[in-house]
This record gives sequence, C-alpha cells and structure tokens, in this order.
Amino acid sequence: MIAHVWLIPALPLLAAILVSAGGRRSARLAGSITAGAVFFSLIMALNVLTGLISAPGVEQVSMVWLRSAGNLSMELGMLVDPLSVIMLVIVCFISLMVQIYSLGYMAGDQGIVRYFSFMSFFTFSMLGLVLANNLITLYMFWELVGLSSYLLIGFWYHKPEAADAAKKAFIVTRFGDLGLLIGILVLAYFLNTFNILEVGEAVKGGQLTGHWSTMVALLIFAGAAGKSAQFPLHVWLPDAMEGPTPVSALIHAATMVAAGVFLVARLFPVFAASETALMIIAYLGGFTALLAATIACVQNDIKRILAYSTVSQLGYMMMALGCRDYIAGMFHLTTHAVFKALLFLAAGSVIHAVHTNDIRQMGGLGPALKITAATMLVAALALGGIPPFSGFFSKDAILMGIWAAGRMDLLMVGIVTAGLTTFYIFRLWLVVFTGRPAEKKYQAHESPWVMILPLLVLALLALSLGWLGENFRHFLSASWGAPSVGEAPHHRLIPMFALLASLAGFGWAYLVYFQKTISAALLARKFAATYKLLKHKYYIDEIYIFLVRQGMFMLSRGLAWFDRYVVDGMVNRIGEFCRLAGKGTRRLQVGRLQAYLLAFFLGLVVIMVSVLMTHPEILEIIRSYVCPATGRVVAML
Amino acid sequence: MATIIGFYLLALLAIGAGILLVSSRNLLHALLGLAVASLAVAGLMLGLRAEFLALVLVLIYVGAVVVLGVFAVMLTGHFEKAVLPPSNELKILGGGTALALLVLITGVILIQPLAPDAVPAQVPIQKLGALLMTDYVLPFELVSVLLLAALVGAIVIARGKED
Amino acid sequence: MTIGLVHYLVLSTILFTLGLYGVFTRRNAVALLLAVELIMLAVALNFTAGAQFWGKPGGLIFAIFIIAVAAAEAAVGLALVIAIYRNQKDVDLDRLTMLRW
Repeated sequence: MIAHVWLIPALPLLAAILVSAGGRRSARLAGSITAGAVFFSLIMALNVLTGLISAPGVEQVSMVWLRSAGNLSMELGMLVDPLSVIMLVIVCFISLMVQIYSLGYMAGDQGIVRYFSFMSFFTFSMLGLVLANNLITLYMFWELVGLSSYLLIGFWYHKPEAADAAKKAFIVTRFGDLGLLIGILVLAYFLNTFNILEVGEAVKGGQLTGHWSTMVALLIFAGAAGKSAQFPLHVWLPDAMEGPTPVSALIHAATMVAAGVFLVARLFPVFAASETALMIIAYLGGFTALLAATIACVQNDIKRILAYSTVSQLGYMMMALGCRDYIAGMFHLTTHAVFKALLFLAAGSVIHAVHTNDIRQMGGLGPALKITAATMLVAALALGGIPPFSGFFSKDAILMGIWAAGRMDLLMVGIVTAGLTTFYIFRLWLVVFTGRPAEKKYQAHESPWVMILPLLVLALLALSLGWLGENFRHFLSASWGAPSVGEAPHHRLIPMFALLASLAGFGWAYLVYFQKTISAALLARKFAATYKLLKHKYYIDEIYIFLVRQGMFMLSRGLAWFDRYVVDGMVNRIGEFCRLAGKGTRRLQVGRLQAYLLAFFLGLVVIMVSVLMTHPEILEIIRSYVCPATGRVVAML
Repeated sequence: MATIIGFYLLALLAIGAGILLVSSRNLLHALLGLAVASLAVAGLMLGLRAEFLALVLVLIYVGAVVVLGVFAVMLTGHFEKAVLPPSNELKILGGGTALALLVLITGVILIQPLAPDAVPAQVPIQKLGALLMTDYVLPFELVSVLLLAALVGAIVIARGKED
Repeated sequence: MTIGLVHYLVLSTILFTLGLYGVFTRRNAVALLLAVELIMLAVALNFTAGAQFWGKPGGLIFAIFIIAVAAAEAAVGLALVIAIYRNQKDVDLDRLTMLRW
C-alpha cells in the first residue's frame, strides 16, 4: 500500500505539467484534467486511510538522496501515519471540491490554463509537504507551497493590489521561513539527522535540552506562525484575498495556512520538550484568536471578514497545540478546513452573483441565492459552534484541552472569541442575505451547478464531521509523535459557557443587523475610538511601515552615507592620487626616441658600473665564457 | 711590420671616417664617411683573411646602403643645401654615455686579454656555403624571410596611400 | 708586437660607441640611420675578428647575417624616413614628437 503513496502527489504534478504543456489548446480541458488527477489522488488517499484504520501504524519509505561528510545524509522519503493521511485526505478533498467549483467560477478567464496548472502544482506541493519524512524535503515543499501561494495570490497580476499582496505574502512569510530553516539546521547540528522520526527519538532521549530546545522550538514555530498567519506575521493573509476566491478557499483557508498547525503537530516531540515554547505558542495563539476576531467584527469586505476569521481560528488551533492537546487542534483543523472552505466558496458564489466584495452593497440576497444562503448558513453555524454542527465539537475539544492544561485565562479568551466569532459571522450572513436590497439593483442569480455541487457536499460534511469526534481521537492517537492521551478531558460546564457565549454573539448580531433595534451606526459613534482602532486593524500594518521607514531606511541612509563618503571616498582619493601622479610623471615622456634610447644606455652604464664595483669576479666569469680554453664559445659558434 | 702599419692606418681611417659620419653638418659628407668607413673595415677584413666577407661588405655597404642613403638625401630635399641642423642638446650627455661605454668595454677587454689560439686563415667559400646549407640552414632561411618582409615593407611604407 | 684579437675588439668598440653617439645626437633622420649602419659595421668586424682568430667559421656566417640585416634595416628605415617626410615635410627628429603626451 505504502509503495504507491508517492502517486498521490505525483498525479497532480503530472497534471500541472500536462496542462501547462498544452498551453492555450488545453483551455477547455485544463480544469477537467487537474480535477481528474486530484480525484484519483483522493481515491488513493482514502484507500490508504481505510488501510490505516484497519491496521494503525507508522510507515516510512525513504531513500538517501545526498550523503554529506559524517553520517548526516539527506533523504527523499515519505512518512505515512494517521496524521499525514488525514492531511492527505483533507488536501485532496478540498482541492477536488475547489477545482470543481473553479470550473464554474473561473470559466471564461483569460488565464484559465495557468490557473489550473498552478492549482494542481499547489496540490502537489501541499501533498508532498504532508508526506515529508525529513526536514529538508519538508522545507523544500514548504517553500514550494509558499511559491504557489505567491503565484495564485498574484494570479490577476495586472491588478496592482494583487501583485502587491502577492509580494507581501511572500516577504512576510519569508521572515518565518528563515526561522524555520535556522531551526532545522540547529536541530541537525545537535541531533545529526534530518529524519523526523530520528529527530523525535533523539529529542525524547533528551539529546536537546534547556534553552536550546526552547530556541529550536520557537524558531520552527516562527515558520509555522508565518504560514499560519499568527500574530505578528498575520498581516499578509487578509491582503492575500486579492487572489481568486477559490484560491482563498483552498490555500488561504483550508490547507496551506493549516500547514503551520500541521508542522507543529508533525514535530510535536520537539515542542513537547520545552514547556516555555509551548506556553508561548499557546498565549500567542490565544492572542491572535482574540485580536483577529475583534478585527473581523468591523470589516466590510466579505473576504476579509473570512480571512480574519481564518486567522482567529488558526490561533485557536495553535492554542490547543500549546496546551498539548494535539488531537483537538488537528480535529479543529479538519472541521475548519471543511466549513471555512465552504464559507469562502459560498462567498465566491455571492461575489459571482453581485460582482462586489463589499457587504454594504449587498443585502436581501437570500431569495435569489437560496442554496448559497442555506449552505453558508450551515457553515456559519459550524463556525459559530452551534450544536450539532461540526465546529461545536472541535471547538469544545479545544476548550476542554485548555481547561485540562489548567490555563483558565486562555479558557476565558477562548470563550470570548467564540462569542465574537458567532457575532461577526452572523453579522456577515444577516447583512448579505436578509434585509432590504441595497440601493444598487442586481440581476442576482444562482450559480451554475458545478459551483453548487461542491457547496452541497461541503455543507453535508460541515454538518456531520463533528460526530466523528471519538473515532477521530482514537485514530489520530496512533500517529507518530502524538502525546499519549488517556480519556478525553470532560467538563460539563464548559460547553455550556461556550454555547452561551455563541448564543449571545448570535443574539447581538440578530438585534443589530436583523431587527435593527440597536443601530450599528450609533454603536460605531458611541465607541468611536475603539471602532476606529478595529477598523484600522490595530494599525499593525501602519506600525510595520513605520518601523521599516524609520528603522530600516534610517539605517540604510546611514550606510549609504558611509558607502558614499568613506568607501567611495577612499576609492576616489586613490584615483585622484593616481591621476596626479600621472600628471606629474607624464612630463618625463618627452616623445623623443633618442632621449629614451639614451636613458636606456645610461641605465646600462649604471648597471655595468655597479656590477663591476660590487662583483669584480664577473670578469672571471666573462673570461671563462669567451676564452676558447673552456671551449664554450666554440660550442656556441 | 707591414701588417701592423696597415692595421693602424686602416683603423685610423675607419675611426676618422666614423667621426666624419657622426659629426658632419653636411649629409653628403656623412654618407662619404660611411662609404670610407666601410671600405676601411673591408680592408681590415682582408687583413683577417676573410676575403669573401670583405667583398660582401663592399658590395652591400658601399654598393647598396650608401646608394640608398643618397636616394634618401635626394628625396628628403637635402641635396641642394645639404646642411644639417646642429646636434641636439643631448650632445654632452650622449657623448658622456658613449664614452663611458667605450671605457667600460675596452676596460673589460684589456684587463683580461684574450689570447687567440689560431692565426687568421682563409676559410674556403665552399665551406661557408656548406655551413650555410647545413648547420645554419635555419637562420639562413629566416634571413631570407626577413629580407622578403623588408622588401615588401619598404615598398608599402615608401609608396604611401594611393590617392 | 703583433696585431691580435684585442686590437680588433677595441677598434670595433670605438666604432660602435661612435655610432651610438651619432644615434644619440643626430637631429636628421637620415643621418641617424647612417649612424646605425656604422654600429652594424662595427659588429660585423667584431664577429669576423673573433671567427678568424679562433678558427671558427660560424662567426663569419653571423657576420654575413648581420650584413643582410643591416641591408634590410637600411631599406625599411629609409622607406620610413620617406614616409615621414611625405607626411610631415620634415625629418628633424626634435620636431617629430607625436609620441609626446
């Protein structure tokens, strides 16, 4: 079974190559080819999944790729365990859904071939990432994923915002990736291996201790934070919404941004070795969750609301991992992948219908877009954590994990965030689908069936996935590196509190945006300072720009001054010296050959005199050369 | 005795002609100096029993080089008023250098007199010819190439551009 | 007292330095070339004397080569003088300073 696992990432790669080789001629077929490839990948992934369910275990195939001096070698290989298989299935499934959806959404776009080949290439990279069995391959695929993300955000490269957003995403994640690379190299330096299994064993065996383990964990977490858009590297994700909506659904909601969470889970033994690192991850995750949720409450761009929601939910997952609740984090990752993809696709359907991203220009779309509205409602309920939708179960698992870890402050953050989440998602849903239509008249119409079908499938899963909780826990605990878990922690009151918070959020949204008993505008005026702060996303972008301008540019100016006046100055002085010296000495060049010749013979005289003065024996040598007695002259002539 | 007197006469003649050559303000006189010096040296070669060389010297120096010199004088317009400008300001320095070289080289020659181990004897022309075609065939061919190149070069340079 | 190799060598040295002096001081290009010929003459005499006193005919061969080179030099040198004269209407070396800075 494992011998054929390599086909799962290989098929999308093949499709990507095939489609791009076909060029414009493959425009009609491009989507079908890539979707077909990922469909077969999904079948194989499901096959592997069922195999693992019946016989849980950890398998690895590997071959040595580069062997360096010493016994450090780089491998190419795959690691198949419940964690990677779950990721495989998620990636294949979401990718398939999004590509089917894209057949409708992207129809008629000029760059459709490019679009599908990038999508397929992304799928390949992501599958390679989750299968990697060593840190070097993992890092390679990590960067490939970043590259495809860059290409797809900037898909409409003729729009300056899209091009800027692509650059921003690439550069911001680069900060984190640098940390990841340094972390990998430090790990390899101490443990003398790149293999993930061996790294885990070595760390468990106590080969990495004290501050070094904390440092390595935090460096690797920097990479995770970059990809998973955790504070303070979260700024790229909202801007990444300039890409096509299905791209946002696949890459920036379900899969790539979850790669950071996956990375922490994959290398969990490394993190588990340092209590400090885990604590920092937990608090940073909690902070991000709350921060992003508050920002999401006041945004007006439908995709940006969802983007901040993604940031917030990823913070949730990080919080769970920081509290050692690996399984809850992964469970939430799974459910979130489904319902967030659904939210994005539904939002795409709305955008498709009304051609705007601004929710203030929508309104009353419910009757026109019945299926979209219904499926989005399912997703919203799942995100809001209303039973029996999937989000409820995974969110409760996280809260329970936090409670079990004894971090009451984070538990509070989690519950408040849950309330805020329900509020902003229902604000979105109510504004878009209910009420009176905005002044603009649209010819809003339901999307074609290729777009509706994925919505329905995803809605079904968003509803039902939560019921698998216990099975999921059991299955995943067989993963390599999973912390040993006993019974799921359980607390009767916590779900109640969370549900209460969610209902409060829902009620508030209902009152403000449906009943309109409380005026949103009035609230904004009353809490003007807070509103402004949230509206400007806590001015984090502005702070970064300020830091870059004032810090880096000042430094650059200083260095430029140094370069211009000290380095160049030195060079210029030398040049001037040479010029002056030349100016002086060129007077010697009188241009008269006779003078040159005279100087030459004068030199000869000087040399002859000095040699004869200091080495009179030279005469003897001359004589021995010219005297026939020695026979040398004879030989010469 | 006769050889000694002959040597000194010819040597003085050569030196005198050489002085005329380098110091005369009249270019034709200088040419005459070269011709006389060549003849004197040819005479010395006869005394060295190198008759063939003496003949070649007269042929080429007096017959060719001096005639070329006359052409040059004619073409550069010094024929009518063949008066040269006085020497340049390097006279003293140049003279000093030449004199120093003379003293040095003569000194080296005289300090360690080299005793000849053969008296000059005539070398048959056949032997010279055989040597040219055997041991020295490579320099000989090189000289022929040099002469060809000089021939072509002289024509090209002297002719100038076709207008 | 007989006339030996040394006499010839000293004589050729005198002729050589005379020619050198001429090369240093002559302002007329033709006269300069004639001085060069004198140098060549001195060298030819030197080689002949050496060859004859040591009984090595190779020296004679080189004297022949030197005479040939002298002829070639004279031809090319005079051609150059003519070419310069045609361009500059002058063969005064003090005024031919194109090589100056």
